[in-house]
Amino acid sequence: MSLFPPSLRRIALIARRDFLGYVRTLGFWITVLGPVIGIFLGVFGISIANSAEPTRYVSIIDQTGRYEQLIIDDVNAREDRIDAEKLKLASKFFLSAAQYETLETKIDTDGVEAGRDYLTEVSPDMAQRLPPPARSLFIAHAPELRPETINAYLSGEKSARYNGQDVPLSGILEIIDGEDAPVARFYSDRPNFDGLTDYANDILRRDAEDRYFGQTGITRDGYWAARDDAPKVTAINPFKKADDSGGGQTVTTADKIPYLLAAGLSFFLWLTVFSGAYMLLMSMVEEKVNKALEMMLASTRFTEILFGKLLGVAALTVASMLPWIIMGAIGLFAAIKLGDPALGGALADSVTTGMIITFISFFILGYLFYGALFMALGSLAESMQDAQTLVTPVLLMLTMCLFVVSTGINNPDSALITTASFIPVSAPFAILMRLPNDPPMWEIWLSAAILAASTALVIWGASKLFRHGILSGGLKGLKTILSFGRIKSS
Amino acid sequence: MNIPPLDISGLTKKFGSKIAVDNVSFSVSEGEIVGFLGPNGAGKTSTLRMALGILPPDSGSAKLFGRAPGPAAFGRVGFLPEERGLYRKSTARGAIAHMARLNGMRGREAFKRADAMMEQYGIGEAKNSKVKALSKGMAQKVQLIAAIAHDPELLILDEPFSGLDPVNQKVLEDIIRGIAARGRTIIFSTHVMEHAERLCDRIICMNYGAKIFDGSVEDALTHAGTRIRLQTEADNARDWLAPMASHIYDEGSGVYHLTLKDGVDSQAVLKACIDSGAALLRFEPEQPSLHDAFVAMVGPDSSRKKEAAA
Repeated sequence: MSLFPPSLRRIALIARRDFLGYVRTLGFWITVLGPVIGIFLGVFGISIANSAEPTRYVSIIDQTGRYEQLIIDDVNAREDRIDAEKLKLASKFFLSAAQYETLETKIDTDGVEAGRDYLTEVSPDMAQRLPPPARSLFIAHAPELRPETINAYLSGEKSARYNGQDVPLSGILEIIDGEDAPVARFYSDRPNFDGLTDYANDILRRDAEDRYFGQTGITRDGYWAARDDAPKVTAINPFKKADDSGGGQTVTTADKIPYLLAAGLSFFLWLTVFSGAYMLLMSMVEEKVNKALEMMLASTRFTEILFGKLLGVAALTVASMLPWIIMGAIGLFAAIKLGDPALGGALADSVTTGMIITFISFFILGYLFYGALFMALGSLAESMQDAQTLVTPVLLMLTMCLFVVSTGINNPDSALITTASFIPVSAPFAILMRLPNDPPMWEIWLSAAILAASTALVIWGASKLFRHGILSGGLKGLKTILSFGRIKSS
Repeated sequence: MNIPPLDISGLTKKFGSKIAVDNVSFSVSEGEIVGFLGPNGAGKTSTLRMALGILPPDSGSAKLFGRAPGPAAFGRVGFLPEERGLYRKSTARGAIAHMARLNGMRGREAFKRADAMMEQYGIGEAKNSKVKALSKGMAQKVQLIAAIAHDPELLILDEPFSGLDPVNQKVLEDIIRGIAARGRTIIFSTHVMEHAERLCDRIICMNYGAKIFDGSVEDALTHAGTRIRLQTEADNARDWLAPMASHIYDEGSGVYHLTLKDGVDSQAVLKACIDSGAALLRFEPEQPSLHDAFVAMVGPDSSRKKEAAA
C-alpha cells in the first residue's frame, strides 16, 4: 500500500476522533480546569479566608511611654499601604493615563484617603467597587488596663472601648523598660493569634538600630542612604544603539527580555512535546491493546493514521494548555500595559515577525519529530510497562534538552547551544534560544533543513515501525524491526 | 469480463525462517460466499492481511477489484479482523459511524446508518452505551456493523464466529446471509465447519501456509473418505476393523463409526464382518460432514502433514 498522498479528510476524521475521544473524558477537563481551579482557590480562597477572619481587638500597656503611638501609626500605615496598592493596581486598568497619574500623585503625597476622594470624583462607580479593605485588627482603649488586670480583660470580665462601644480584648501587648533594653510580651489565650507581635518587633528593631547607630553618631536613615548610594558596576554593551530612554549603552533588564522570552517559548515547546508525546504514547498503547487499528487499516493508510493522530493530539495538547496560554497572554498584556514602560516596550519589541515564523516552524517540526518517535515506540508496546521501557531513552534525551534552555538564557552563543541547534533532538529548543543573538540566517536555514530531513526520516521510519508494531506482538518482533527490508512498502 | 473482487496470485510470506503463506493463489468471484478454512497457524490471517494490503507479501500479488490494495479499494471493502477491538470510551453508534465515515460516508448519513443497523440487528437500545459497557456478544455485533455499515462490495471476516454463543452465531449467520442476498461478496475464515457448510458456495482450505483445497462443499466432502456405521455384538470388533479404517469412533453398545482407508470399500468391511462370525445388528453408509472432510485434509493423517513431517 502506498504511503502518499494521504487523504486530508481521513486525517481530519482520525484527528477529530482522537481529539473528541479525550475531550469527552473527565480527566481532560480536570487537566484543563486544574490551573483555573488552582488559581481561583489561591486568589479567591485567600480573599475569602481573609474576609472571614474574625474581628479582634487588642490593647497596649506601654510603661515606657515611647512605643504605643509608634505601633498604632505603623498599623495604620501598613493598612493604608495595602489599600493604596490595591487602589493603584485596579485603577490602572480603568482610568485614563492622565487620571491615573493624578490619582497616584494624590495617594503618594496626600494619602490613600485623598486618592479615594479623587477616584470618587472621577469614577464614582469604580470607587464604590473598590471599598477600603476590611480590617480585622483594631487597637482598643482600655483605661483601667494594668499588668494586674490583664487576666480580667482577657477573660472577658472587663471590656475595652472602641468607637464608643464595649469590646472584648483578644490580646494585650505589654512593653516595659528592661535593664538594657525594653522587654515586650504579648498576652493572649489564643496560641495562634500573634496580634501586634510583628508590628512591635519592627518598631523595637528599628529602635534598637537607632540606639546602636546613635552611639556612633550615625543615623539609621543615613546608613541606608549610604548603602543605596554605594557605587555599582554598570554593564555596558558597546554595540547597543542608544535609544530615547537616555540609558545610552548601559545594559538594562529590558535588554534581557528577548532572552527570557526565547526561554519561555522554548520551554513552552518542551512542555507541549513532553505532554503531547505522553498522550500519543498512551493513545497508541490503548489502541494497540484494544485492536481497533487493524480494522482501520482496511480503509486507511498508515500515514493517514499517523498524521491524524499527530494532529489530534496536537490539538488536544494545545486545548489542555489553553488556560496557561490565556494566562500567559494576559500576563504578557499586563506586563506591557501595567509594568515598567521600558520593560513593556522591550517585551513588545521582542515579538517580531521573524521570531513568530521561526517559533511556529520549529514548533511544528519539533512536535512532529518527537510525536512520530513516540507513536512508533507506542505501537511496539503491548502495555504501558512496555511503553515506559521503550521511551525511557527518548525521555532522557528530552530531559537533557532542558539544559539547552537553561544554558541558553545566559550563554546563547556558547558552543553547546550552537552545536545543539544542528542536532535534531535539541534543534527546536536551541534555535529559539539563539534567536535574540541574531544568528546568521544560513544557520537557521541549515538547522531547519536538518530538522526537517530528520523529521521526514523519523516519520518514514515510524510508519514502518508503526505498521510492524500494530500487526506484530510488539517487542518480540524487535529483530524484524531492525531489519527494515522486511517491512517494506508494496 | 467481470473483474473479481479479490484475486490472489502466488502470495508468499515468511516470518523469519517460518513460511507463513506459501505460494497461495485463488480468486473470489462477485456474489460468492467463500469459507476460508484451516487449523490455527495455517496462514489464513496472514493471507487476508496481504489481500487487504495491510501486510506486504514477500512475493506474489493481491488485487482488490483488479487493482493493488490501497485507496482505490477503500470504501469498497469491509474488514472484521480476528482480534476484535473498538474504542472502549466511544459510544456504540459513534464507533460505527467513525468507521463508516472513514469508508467515505458523510457524517449525518453515517450516524443515521449506525442507528438503523443497530435497530435492525437488535441492539438499538445500546446505541448510546459506551463500548466498554457492552457484553462481548453485543460488542462483536457492533464491530461487525462497523465493518459493514458502509455497505461494502467485498466483506472479509476473519473468524467472525469466534467467541460468540450459539444464539449469536445463528444471528451472525443470518446477517451474513442477508448481506449475501444483496449480491455482496463475502469471504470468511472459521474453525467451525458447520457455519461454512451452511453458508458457503465454496471453500478454500489452508494448511501449513499452503492452499490444499479449493472447491465446492460437495467436492470437499469427497475428501472425507467413505464412512460406515455398524453395530455388532462382537467384543473384539475393533481388532478386525482397525486394518480397514483410518479412524474408528466407538459410540458404545457395539456401535462403531468408521472412516475407511483409501482403497477400502464398504463391501470389504461387510465381508470382514461376516468372516469374523460376528452378529451384525446394523450396517449402513454414513454421510460425511465438512468437519470430517476438514479433519481428513488437515488432520494428523493428511498428506500435507506427512510431507511436513518428512
